[in-house]
Amino acid sequence: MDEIEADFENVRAAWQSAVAQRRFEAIGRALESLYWFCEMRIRFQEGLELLRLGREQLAPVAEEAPHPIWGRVMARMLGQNSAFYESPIESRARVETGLALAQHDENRAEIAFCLWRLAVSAYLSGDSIAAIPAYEASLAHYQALDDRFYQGYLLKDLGILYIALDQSDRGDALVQQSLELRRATGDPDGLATSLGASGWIMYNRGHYTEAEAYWQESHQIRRTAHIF
Amino acid sequence: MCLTKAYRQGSELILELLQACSGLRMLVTSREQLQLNSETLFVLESMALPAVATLPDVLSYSAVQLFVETARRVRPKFTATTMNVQAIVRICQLVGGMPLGIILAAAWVEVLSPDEIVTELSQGFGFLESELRDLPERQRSMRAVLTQSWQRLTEAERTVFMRLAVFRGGFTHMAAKHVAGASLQMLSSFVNKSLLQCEPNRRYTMHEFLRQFAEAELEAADQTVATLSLHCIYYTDLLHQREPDLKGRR
Repeated sequence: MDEIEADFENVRAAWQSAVAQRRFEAIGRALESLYWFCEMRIRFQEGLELLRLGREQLAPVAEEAPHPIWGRVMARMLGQNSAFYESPIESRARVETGLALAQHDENRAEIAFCLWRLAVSAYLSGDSIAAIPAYEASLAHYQALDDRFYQGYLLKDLGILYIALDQSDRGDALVQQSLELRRATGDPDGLATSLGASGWIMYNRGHYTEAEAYWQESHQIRRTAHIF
Repeated sequence: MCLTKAYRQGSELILELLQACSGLRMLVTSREQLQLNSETLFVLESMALPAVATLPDVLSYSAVQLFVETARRVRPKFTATTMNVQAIVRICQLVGGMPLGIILAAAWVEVLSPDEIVTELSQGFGFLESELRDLPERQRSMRAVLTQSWQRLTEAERTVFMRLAVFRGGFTHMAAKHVAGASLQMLSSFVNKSLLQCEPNRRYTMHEFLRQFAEAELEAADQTVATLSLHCIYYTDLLHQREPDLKGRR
């Protein structure tokens, strides 16, 4: 990540150049890393600006069929953090467009991503009941794809949702599963996130020493990996 | 070619003098290294720039002092005030603390306010010209200074250097190799000629005026689109290659 950080101005210029020339292949190769880099390094506003540029420049012209990469760009305009989206309603509509394009393209990884984003959108709008089937459908796709990076996020998100719905045992188990998965994969951002969630579970139960231990470990990982 | 020849002749003269006179020491200023075994290099860096524009602290910085002194030559009552100090500091930053850049910019105080100078400078270095007769003709405009450096380059060096103009915020050797076809030797040569700076983290940076000059040359050579395309491919590929690192153990 430090390498991307040092070259972020070049990355930004390359992205601007790619969208201006509608180089879909190059954009498709860069998109996932750009999205996660901006998430992990808290460059929400800059990430959103670059995605917004992509949304505008890659939109279908006249009778042209919408390109799947355009759909992928729009689906990523709703990030993990509330600062990384414009408005839940607009974001949801964009993710739905992205999902339709992914389904047409039979791109299972992208279908899984869009379902996750729709679940997050529903959760942020206060519709937890609608969020659950979307989270579960997304998780099932990622399990079938054996994508453990995304499984970690889905398990943690779903766990927190169940805890919010007063199904603590089910929620705790999912967050714990997410933590174990992330310890195995070693993804620092995911691991720090799951440790943070585990800390909150312990805190809410009044287990302050355990909560502090989880948070300390999470903090240490973030410091070491320069993620925030 | 003429300049290169003169430079070589100067270098050879210094060598002859050193060989003929034992114990001789010479203080030589040059844009390039002389490439002599007996040479000890002292790099003249940019003038000190303040991070925050507050009076009276900024007046202790050499860049601001030079600006105010030069401005007073064309407008004797000129002083740094709370109203213009931010613009003065911005001017010094825009010229990268380069003494000649500060002198050429300050000379405009006769007809422009510091704020107006900032506006002009933001549009490019072409504005940095002066009719001051006590400056050598080759130093009366930034373009003339940059043209001299440009003329000292070989054709192959020019081709590579103008391509480097597409980078933003510095670049690595690997990026320069893929985008501009720069070899490590060539980058080293550019550093020796003060056309690039090599930072401690091994990243290369180019002064903004040089970058603008090189960008214009790239455009004139009709190579902008092709070079931007290589830049775009290199950095989108870099992002793609780093995806497993972002998602996995680091």
